[in-house]
Amino acid sequence: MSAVPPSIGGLGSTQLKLRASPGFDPLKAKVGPEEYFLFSRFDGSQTLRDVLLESGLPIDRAIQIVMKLRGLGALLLPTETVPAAGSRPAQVADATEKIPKRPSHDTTERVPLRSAAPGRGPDATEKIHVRTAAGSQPPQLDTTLPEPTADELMALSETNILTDAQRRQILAMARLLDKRDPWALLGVLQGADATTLKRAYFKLSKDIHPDRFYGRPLGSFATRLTTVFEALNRAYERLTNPDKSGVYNVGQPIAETAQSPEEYAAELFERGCALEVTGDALEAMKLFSAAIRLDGQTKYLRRSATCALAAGQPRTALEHAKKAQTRSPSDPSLARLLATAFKACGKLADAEEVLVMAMALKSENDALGTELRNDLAEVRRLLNG
Amino acid sequence: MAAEKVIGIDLGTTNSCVAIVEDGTPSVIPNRGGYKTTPSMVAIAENGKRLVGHIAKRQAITNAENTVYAAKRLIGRKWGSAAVRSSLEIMPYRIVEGPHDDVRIMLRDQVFSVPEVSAYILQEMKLISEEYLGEEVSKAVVTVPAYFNDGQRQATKDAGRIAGLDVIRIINEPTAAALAYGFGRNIERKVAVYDLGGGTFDISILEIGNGVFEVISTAGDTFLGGEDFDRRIIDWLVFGFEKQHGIDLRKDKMALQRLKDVAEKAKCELSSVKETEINLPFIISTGRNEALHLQTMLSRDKLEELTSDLVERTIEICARTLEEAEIAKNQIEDVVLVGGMTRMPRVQQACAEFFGLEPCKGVHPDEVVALGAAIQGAALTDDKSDILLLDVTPHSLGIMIVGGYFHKLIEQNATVPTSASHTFTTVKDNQTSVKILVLQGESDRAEENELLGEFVLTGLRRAQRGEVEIEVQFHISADGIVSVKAKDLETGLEQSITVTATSGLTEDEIKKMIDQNKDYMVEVRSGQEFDKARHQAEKSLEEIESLFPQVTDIIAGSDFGQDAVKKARAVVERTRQSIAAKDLTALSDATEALNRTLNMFRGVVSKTRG
Repeated sequence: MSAVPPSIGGLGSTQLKLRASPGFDPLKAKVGPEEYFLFSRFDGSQTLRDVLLESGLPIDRAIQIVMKLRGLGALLLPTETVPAAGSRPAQVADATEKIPKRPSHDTTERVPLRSAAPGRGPDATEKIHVRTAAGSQPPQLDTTLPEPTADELMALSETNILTDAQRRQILAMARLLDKRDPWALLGVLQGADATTLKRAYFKLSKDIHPDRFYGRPLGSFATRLTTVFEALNRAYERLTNPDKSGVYNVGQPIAETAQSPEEYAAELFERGCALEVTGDALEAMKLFSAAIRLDGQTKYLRRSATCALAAGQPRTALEHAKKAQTRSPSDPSLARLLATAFKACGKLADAEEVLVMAMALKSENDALGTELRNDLAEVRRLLNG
Repeated sequence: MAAEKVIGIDLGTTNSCVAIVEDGTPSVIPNRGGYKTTPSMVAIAENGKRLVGHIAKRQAITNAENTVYAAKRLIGRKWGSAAVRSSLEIMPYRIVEGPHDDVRIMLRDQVFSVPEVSAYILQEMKLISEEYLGEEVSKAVVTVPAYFNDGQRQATKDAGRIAGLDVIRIINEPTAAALAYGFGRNIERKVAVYDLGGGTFDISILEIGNGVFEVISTAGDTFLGGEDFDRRIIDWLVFGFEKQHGIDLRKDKMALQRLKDVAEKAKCELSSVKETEINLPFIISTGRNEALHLQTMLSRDKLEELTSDLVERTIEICARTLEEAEIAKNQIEDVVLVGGMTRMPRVQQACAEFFGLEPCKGVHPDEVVALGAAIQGAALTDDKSDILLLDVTPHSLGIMIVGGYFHKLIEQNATVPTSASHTFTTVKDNQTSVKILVLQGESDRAEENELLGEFVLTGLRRAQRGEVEIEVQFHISADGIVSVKAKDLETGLEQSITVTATSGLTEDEIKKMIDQNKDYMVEVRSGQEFDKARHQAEKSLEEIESLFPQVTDIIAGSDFGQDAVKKARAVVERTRQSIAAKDLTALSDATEALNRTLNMFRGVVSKTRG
């Protein structure tokens, strides 16, 4: 059973996705191998919880290291930026100097950056690594539009009824469209509950729905508004109507439980393990699948694939083994599991290929190496016979 | 900017109502007689004069054949439709076939289109507001039942144009009701609007918060309304009379009109009293210079018995709508009742029982829709308004594909504005043109849906079937205007239409059209998926190629190294081949193996580095 706490004092929720600070030099900071290893896992796409779990280190130790790295300024919370970073979109108030040149005619209307979230903006004088509860702040829209494109400059200077602040909001939202991050577009923290999502969606709709500017000259913003609103609408749909066949229907609505999807997945996984032990592999499979739908952890995938193989469900086994192997490609034991699943599905050529690659990957000649070798011999025999 | 005033009109089946927002307050505009609603009736008098509203209603008994009521039941309908068929039997006025398979109404040898008749009512509402406001009014928001299709909405807009009104927006009646319900109240909740009007039943679920009204789901029945309740009373009266006297009163148009009036009156009275007397002296003459009278008592219990299945049907629709929207009954925090029929105690009781809460009493069922329309008018044109309606498209939209199937691009209840696109392909070798049939509806079969428009894209390259890709794009603007574009992805040539007019085609005609155009159809092809897959595969190929030298260096020495490199080469080759063959299935398989190999390559490289 994993013991990752929902939040870590001085850092915030373990659901946050921390990323490595580009300004941090691990060589200069003289970190140890474990610290460097953990540091290298933070790419901004995995939650802290996942990183901790996948590190393979004891959780307490891993948390210790994370706190140390944090103290060194090596890790950034999603809302933070590096003061010295050159091209990153500025999100904190002390980056105001970097506002690019804007057309001069309507500068007076520009909304100061701080006003985006009154009273909640981070204190500019504080250094990032000593800030604590910043993780609970929703992402803010960067209306400074760093390095504006020609199109954006045109849009800022054309004649229409929109204020500079409105234009900036729409252009800044348009910039987010490529990122395909529904949370960011709605300006909420990942994992925000249904009420928060709805409020954010309603608020932004009021800002950018084309009807709010009905019959007024909008210039190029007529199309921009529609595009951005449609994307906002899609983002909201995506976050509020998850896969209808998913576990949300069976369980409570996600908004009403304090449990995060990941926590719920962990619970489902544990219940599955208990069932598997008592011999009810099919029921266990259902719970594993549900857990994986919520949170596709390697651990869940491996267990589920093994269980499915034992329960005579090679298709599910293959599906989950594939996912597990994709997540941890350099783990030869997962490659072996995948090969076994391929074999169970009658895909011998694929099994052989995976085994060959796994053999190549393995440098030591240990027990697993022997097993791989035996498996490969068996598959080749079947292939030729 | 001095915004021009926009009126809100509830163009009802039996009564219409007009409202306006002045200084931030919505209010209903009374007509000359001081009434807040005006009968949706138009008549041509003996002297050829046109009569609208109360005057038309007053003379309806003596001039039944030249008095139109319930024109809303016919608007935008095709001659062959069930609604028109049933109207033919029950309407005392003459309904004739129009030149475009539409419906026309004959009044004193003059033929009127249905939008014309509706236009007279809208014009009356326009006049009422102009007299009240002392200025000209040219813009309006008009409401329609949620279940109206595009043709019916378009016909309603046409009626506005004939009446000299620019209908800036058509909104659904229950939505309008919700706007009026939530206006000026700082609430945040889900509400259900139960709208049982003269001719239609609608149920809508909305989410309200911070001045935003989001329609979540809407459904209804176009053939269920107050008139069906009236007809049950009429049938009961006619049946009783026939048993007693052996005469079918329905054969006499004047008697029928009197029955209709008395049934409606009795129904309304029974909302407040337990029993009412129906008295129609001299209802018919026997031909022997002897007149018969109809006199009987009708109790509330009897009325409820006669109409219990109608009430039940509305509740069933409520249950289904909630289910489809995946909303539990207990999530609904308020029920708004709209339409005159919701005055019936049995209806209120059924709603309270179903939703488990007392319906909201704060809104006036006859006025609330017009008020909501006026609120939306102000929301669109008044800078000070802080209301936003997030409306939805009432029906799914898509195109016909080979085999006569309907391929949906935009689903019902999608928030507008919205867009969608999909790639289709040709179905025949050397097919140089495709016909895009734009349809609206929920059936899988094309002919069972409404045809909104069609266009042809020509000049395609002569190629094998399935090779030429055509991208079809749909867009619905905030005001519900549908535009469709088809683009030849090879040449970039495109064709588009904006759906404006009704097609007026019957199911049979669409069927015929399908047969005739078989060779010009398109087929669903996941071309976009292929492009995506190809793109991904190419990225992986690039990376794997760059890793080959390093990986070969590292593993070539080990037992299986040579073997692994060979295998990897084979996978790369397989991927290249499936891209060349444009075979999505093969490509998906190959890409999977490719990514697996790539992953291992990455693993090998990083392991050595670390």
